[in-house]
Amino acid sequence: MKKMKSIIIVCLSLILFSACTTNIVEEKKPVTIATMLDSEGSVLGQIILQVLNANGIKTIDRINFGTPDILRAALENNEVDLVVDYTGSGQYYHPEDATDTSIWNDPVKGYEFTAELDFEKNNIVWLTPSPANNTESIAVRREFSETNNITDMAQLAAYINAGNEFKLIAASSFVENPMGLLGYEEAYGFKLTNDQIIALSSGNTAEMLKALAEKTNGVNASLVYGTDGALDKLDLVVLDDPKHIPPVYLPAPVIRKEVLDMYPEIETLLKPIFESLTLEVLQNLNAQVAYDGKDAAEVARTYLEENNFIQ
Amino acid sequence: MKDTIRKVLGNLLILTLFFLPVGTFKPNRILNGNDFYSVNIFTFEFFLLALFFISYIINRKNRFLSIIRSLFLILLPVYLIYRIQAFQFIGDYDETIARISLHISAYLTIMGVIILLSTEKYPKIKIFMSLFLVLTAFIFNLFPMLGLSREFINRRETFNAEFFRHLTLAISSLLFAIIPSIFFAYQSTKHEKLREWIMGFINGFQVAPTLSLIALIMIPLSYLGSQFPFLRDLGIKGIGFLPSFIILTLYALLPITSNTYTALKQIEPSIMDSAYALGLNRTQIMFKIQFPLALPLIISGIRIALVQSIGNTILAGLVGGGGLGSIIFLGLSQSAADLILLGSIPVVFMALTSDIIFEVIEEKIKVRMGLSR
Repeated sequence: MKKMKSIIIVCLSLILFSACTTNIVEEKKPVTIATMLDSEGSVLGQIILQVLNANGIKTIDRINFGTPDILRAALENNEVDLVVDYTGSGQYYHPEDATDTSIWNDPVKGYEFTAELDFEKNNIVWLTPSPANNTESIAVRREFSETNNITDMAQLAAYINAGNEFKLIAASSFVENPMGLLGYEEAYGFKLTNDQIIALSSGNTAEMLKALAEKTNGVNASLVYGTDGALDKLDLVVLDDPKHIPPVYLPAPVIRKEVLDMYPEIETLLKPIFESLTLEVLQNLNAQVAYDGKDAAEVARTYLEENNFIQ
Repeated sequence: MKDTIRKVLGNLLILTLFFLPVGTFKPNRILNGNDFYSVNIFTFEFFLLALFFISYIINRKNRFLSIIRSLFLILLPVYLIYRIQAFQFIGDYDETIARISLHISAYLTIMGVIILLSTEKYPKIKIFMSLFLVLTAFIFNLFPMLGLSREFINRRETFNAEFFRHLTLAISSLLFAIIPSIFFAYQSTKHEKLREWIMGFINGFQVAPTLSLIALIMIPLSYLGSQFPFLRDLGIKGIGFLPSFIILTLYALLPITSNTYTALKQIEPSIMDSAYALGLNRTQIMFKIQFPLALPLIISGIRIALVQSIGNTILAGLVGGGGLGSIIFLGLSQSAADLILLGSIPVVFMALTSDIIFEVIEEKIKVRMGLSR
């Protein structure tokens, strides 16, 4: 019995010891890439993954890792190394610092503000973002837009104020946000009643678009995101927003400083690719995944090869 | 009598083929498509179906007839799915994008087949054969137009990885729960006061919603991880595998503990007394008398815990723990019904299979101990 115990103790100490030694020897760890649970997350994640792999950087694939808040927490906790995030999200990460909310409507200022604070506070680096603004807008069906002659928010406000039938489907975070629906209502002077809004707890685009396209429950307007691929294919019209109420959301690779120091080439590798991802390009890539049901890895590979980012 | 009800029900379910839609043609992944009916795909099959119903109505006891009938039933699901996905839609569509999904009467028919097979001889083998055929055909890509197949082919590697991650998470958390639960139960039988505390504690976990528990446990774990870097390197972080693992383990405690407790309490005092009288000491009584007698119930507790664990593991997909849940939630976020099915059908299969395996083990143990038959 005593012998047994001593063997167990030796084993345990060996395990502990080996755990310690592996930490002491600094080897080049693989980069863990994680993205959000949506089609854009799959595409951008695959693009980053394949570019890094093609340039000899080992990676761990955690694409479609989880919801945005989980992803952010994972990055802050060193669970993952490289994520794709949106510049406008800075308003949620550093709410106490952004006294002037107008910076979120400016693509450059919002990016710089978030990048600076994240670097100082969390040792996290925001790399060059894509120029595609994945912002929130309101869209209607083309046939609705034509019969009622509505192409921008002001016309929509007039339509609603005239007492016409209207029903909006949107994420509840958008409905309750002063930079979302509340901001629209104030800026364009209209007010939706509770039974004119269907609020989804998740910002599930595909579900909202489906409801709009199929007129489920009489929905005739929906919250949409700028880079969504299905907008064009489902024959929807995005209403112009001349006052720019919602924040600008540019997708950008976000990486922990320690990892970037280990692989400084990541910055220069990803810069030209993200700069090439304009709104149309990103919409197209997203559509191939969400709408055509193609494999995100293949969509990403085709794009990278066609544009000579990888051979 | 019971058989007659099942036979009627099974036939009625298959009868739905005649008037409910069998499939949906979707021109793309998001929009709902056009439903189609069995008249659109069947011709001579109606004749076979009619013969099949007639054979039931006549209800002759004929060996040859019943063999033909079983064969028909076993082959029906795989043939039906094959014919549905081979449906040719007339109109303009992109063949590489378009997909076909099963509709209500296809599902009802498969259910009817299973019910009818369950009234025959060797029901389990026949049902298994029928479903196995469908599964094999699916894996060998004999249903290329089926939406489910498209999603599967697209993410074969991810699917395999998530499938095994799901299994690992569910089983490892269960294994981790077994020893403490048996210990808790054993202590509870000795001290009545302790029992209330333990049961209250364990029940508390059961009542709280799983997702909120995972979210709650993330806070102390990430605190630990950020305060002590060496813990973080050991894998103690607020996200991913560990929080899901801990929560699943806590959930698995209740069924095993309560079953073990009941089993230990059920042992007749006279047996214990005779054991004492024979001069066995406490440890011997525990290992030679109490646990062997309690084993069947403990196993059934483990079975319940495992089935529950397999279902609960889906939620790990939300916190980066992986598993089939991540496929389901991806499907939900893209509103892709086929993807949701691709994630959830294996979970159901996993739960059913483990249930059956444990049932067999339980029965074996009971037989060996002379408790049944």
